[in-house]
Amino acid sequence: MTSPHGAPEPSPLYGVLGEFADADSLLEAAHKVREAGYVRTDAYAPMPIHGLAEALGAKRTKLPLLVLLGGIIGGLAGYGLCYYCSVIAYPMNIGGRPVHSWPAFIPVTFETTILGAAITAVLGMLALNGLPMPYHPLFNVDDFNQASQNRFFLCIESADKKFDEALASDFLRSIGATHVTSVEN
Amino acid sequence: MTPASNQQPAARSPLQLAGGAIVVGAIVGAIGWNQNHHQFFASYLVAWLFWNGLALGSMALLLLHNLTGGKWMEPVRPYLRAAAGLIPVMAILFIPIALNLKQIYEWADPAVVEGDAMLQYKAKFYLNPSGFYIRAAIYFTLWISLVGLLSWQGRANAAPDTPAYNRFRRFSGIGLGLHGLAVTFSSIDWMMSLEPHWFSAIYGVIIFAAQGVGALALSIALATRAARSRGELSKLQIHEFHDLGKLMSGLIMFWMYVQFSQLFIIWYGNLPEEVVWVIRRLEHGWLWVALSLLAFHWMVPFFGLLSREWKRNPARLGFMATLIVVMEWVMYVWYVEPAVQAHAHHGEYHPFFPWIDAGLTAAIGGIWWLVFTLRQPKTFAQAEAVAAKNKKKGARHG
Repeated sequence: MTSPHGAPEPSPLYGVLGEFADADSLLEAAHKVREAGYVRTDAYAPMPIHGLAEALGAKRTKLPLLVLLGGIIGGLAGYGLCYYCSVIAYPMNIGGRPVHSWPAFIPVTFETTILGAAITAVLGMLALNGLPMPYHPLFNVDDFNQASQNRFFLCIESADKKFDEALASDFLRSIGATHVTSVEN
Repeated sequence: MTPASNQQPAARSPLQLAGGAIVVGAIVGAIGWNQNHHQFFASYLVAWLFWNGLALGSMALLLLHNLTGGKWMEPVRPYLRAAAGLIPVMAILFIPIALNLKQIYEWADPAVVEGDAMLQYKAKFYLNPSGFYIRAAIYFTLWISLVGLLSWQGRANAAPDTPAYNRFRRFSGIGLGLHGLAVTFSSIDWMMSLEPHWFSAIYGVIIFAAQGVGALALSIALATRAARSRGELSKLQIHEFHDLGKLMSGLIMFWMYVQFSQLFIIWYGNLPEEVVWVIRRLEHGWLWVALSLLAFHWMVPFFGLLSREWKRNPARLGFMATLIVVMEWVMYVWYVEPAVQAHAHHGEYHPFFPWIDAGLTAAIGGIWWLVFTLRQPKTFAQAEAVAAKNKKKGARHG
């Protein structure tokens, strides 16, 4: 990026990224970063590490609640559809049964409950985790694609209130980062 | 999982409990016998079906777990193995039923068949005592062979992905398929034929689901109880209970799904020879039993187990599992008794039938529990050996 005066303008940082030797040191670093009071952090590793999410203070996802609501709405909509069709719009005498024959509505209600819950689960998951994400500032870091193979990274994001580029970089080094990069947005 | 030695101190009181249940149950059973032989055998059938279902369901879950593999069933596997080993005992306890068919099933009474064209026709091809005996012999031969396979597997202690392990897997797959057929036909012979004019194609599936959910619930109830008595749970244990809770809630949903399917199809068809089954189970106060099944075999456990906390808390999970086991028994009463009362007592209700049901369930349960408790040290020791071997090999760990 270049300003009209030709001098480079300081670009806003996404955060600082520290690289760690292995899963254990990443987990230890995650605990220390949290103890130091950083809140907006994230870790990147090639495999699931037990306790890492808890160490970074990840909150429980709201997705189950959304799925429950999706299921309830789906169920009510399905039953409502049957009720509207059979009782209000086209009341017909079928085999002498009452127009509001609830057993006949149950299969539809069951299926639309699952449909509502399943659609909410997929769309809610995408909405909450932000995928698909064609661009992410961390892609600017040369070695970052190695995070899916054999590298362990921990990022302190600039969105954190405590964030200061120099202090955060020093801190990451002090807790064992082998390499620290500032990540541009 | 649990060292066998941990089981020993607790083993004494279950044995006393079993002894007490046998004595009390035998006294109640004798009173029932004295009052009415039809009722005695009907109650005996309810009790036997309940305990036999728990043994068969345990075996089916073990065969299923052999196919799927994975750690999720490890905490309950020793209990399931001990319960599946009860099948030979249940075969012996089947003898009183086999010897008294006429007391229980109207199609076994030549005087009834003589005046009934449909029963005569059915007797020609399927529903006759010799056929009943031959089929029962086939079912028990299959089941006892499968139990033999499972205990061979327990002794062989094969590590995952070895040729021996894969051989047990293959046999389990074949066995599970044959078991599905055996459960279907045995449920027709032993339960559906109580009303020999009536038929339902989904009946076998319902019984299959009920046996599976009952056996899983019993093993979870016992595993959570043992885990609680040992104190603090590890993260892994909580995770395992979480998985088992999910499986149990899935099976409850399946149970409800097939129960409703049967009701729904009968309701839609609205044919006199089909609706009689439902009507018998909704009048004379059976409506309340039906509603209690809806509430406590499905609604309460299903919505309770939707919650993550309820699945991960052994006390709550154990409560739900115990509730399901109790309601499982109520289901057998609800399936069998209305038919028996309509046939053997011509619509008149034997005044004490629930007590005789409960008494004989306690008596057979005492025997069941005795063998179950005595088998546990062995199945736990074998589970320990498997766990140790897996840890060494590093296979299926984590």
